[in-house]
Amino acid sequence: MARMSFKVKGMHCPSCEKLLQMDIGDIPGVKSVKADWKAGTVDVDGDKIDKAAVKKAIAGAGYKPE
Amino acid sequence: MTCEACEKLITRAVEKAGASVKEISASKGFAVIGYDGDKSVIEAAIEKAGYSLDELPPSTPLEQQLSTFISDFIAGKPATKVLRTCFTYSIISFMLLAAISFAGFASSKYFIYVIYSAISAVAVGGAIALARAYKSHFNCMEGMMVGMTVGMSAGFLFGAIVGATNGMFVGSVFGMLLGMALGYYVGKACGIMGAMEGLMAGIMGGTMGAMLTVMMQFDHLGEFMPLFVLSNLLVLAGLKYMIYYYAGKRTEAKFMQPSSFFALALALLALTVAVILFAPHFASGLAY
Repeated sequence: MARMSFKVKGMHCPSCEKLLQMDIGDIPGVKSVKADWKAGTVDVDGDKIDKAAVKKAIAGAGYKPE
Repeated sequence: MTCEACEKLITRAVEKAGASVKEISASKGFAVIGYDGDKSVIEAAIEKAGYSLDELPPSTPLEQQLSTFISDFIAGKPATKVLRTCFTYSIISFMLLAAISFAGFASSKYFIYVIYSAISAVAVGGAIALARAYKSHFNCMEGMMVGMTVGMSAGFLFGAIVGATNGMFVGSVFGMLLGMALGYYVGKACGIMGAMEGLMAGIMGGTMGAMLTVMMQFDHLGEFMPLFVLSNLLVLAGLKYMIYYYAGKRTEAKFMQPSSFFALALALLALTVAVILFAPHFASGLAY
């Protein structure tokens, strides 16, 4: 299982974390997602995760992936 | 709900439960949900998403809302606690200010205007105190309304009073500056839009209030003033109800201490009386 970490701009509360966890969690191959609004990070664990799909999901939820 | 992410989370929870969100606002704390079937499933989905909900009654006419509010207020229901505190402090402060005014100005030709000042100080002070209690919980529209009403009413009342006693120049300057300062102070709770609204309302109310009493000095000013003051009191009472109805239902607020409330009203009265007594009197007429 591989881990990807993203810096995400725009999160400001626990609701933002939940929203991202839900959206990224729907991507095929993703086993778990941990968003931290205070640190501005998202850690994604899983197999054969499409990095572009994760970035697209982050952007689609209204946040800015780096 | 605190933000757009909350709106999205609730929308998704509702949609997963087989219903649809027609309208949702985090700033106003409400959502309109369309559904067929079991309402408890939707409620459970929203609660599972981490939110609590209270179902609003069907939209009721304003007269009915007011009637319910008055009943709740008289019955002393907990929801009206902050407003009842404001009302109680206002009555006590007015009685104290009236006693001070009577002791110091009973034989003065300005007595009735000092009493109008005391009434205005308590009414405007009450609105400021209430706005201060909820200042972190106004959305933009509410903040603008609060800034405008306080700025306009303060400008009108104090401008009219000083216009009647000192003439149009002093009345306009005093009413305008006080209206702008108070309008800005309460309006800034929602940012620059509320602050601007308060400033503009202060200019308009202050200059118009003074103009009004100077122009009416030979045409029943004595009869008009009680009506004018009462009308402004009614508007300020409406503002207090508005704050209770919107911000008051979203959050609990802590009202200021009675001594602070009295000090605020006393400061407004003292400032106005000082202007009446010591600022130039530029015109002559019935009120001077």
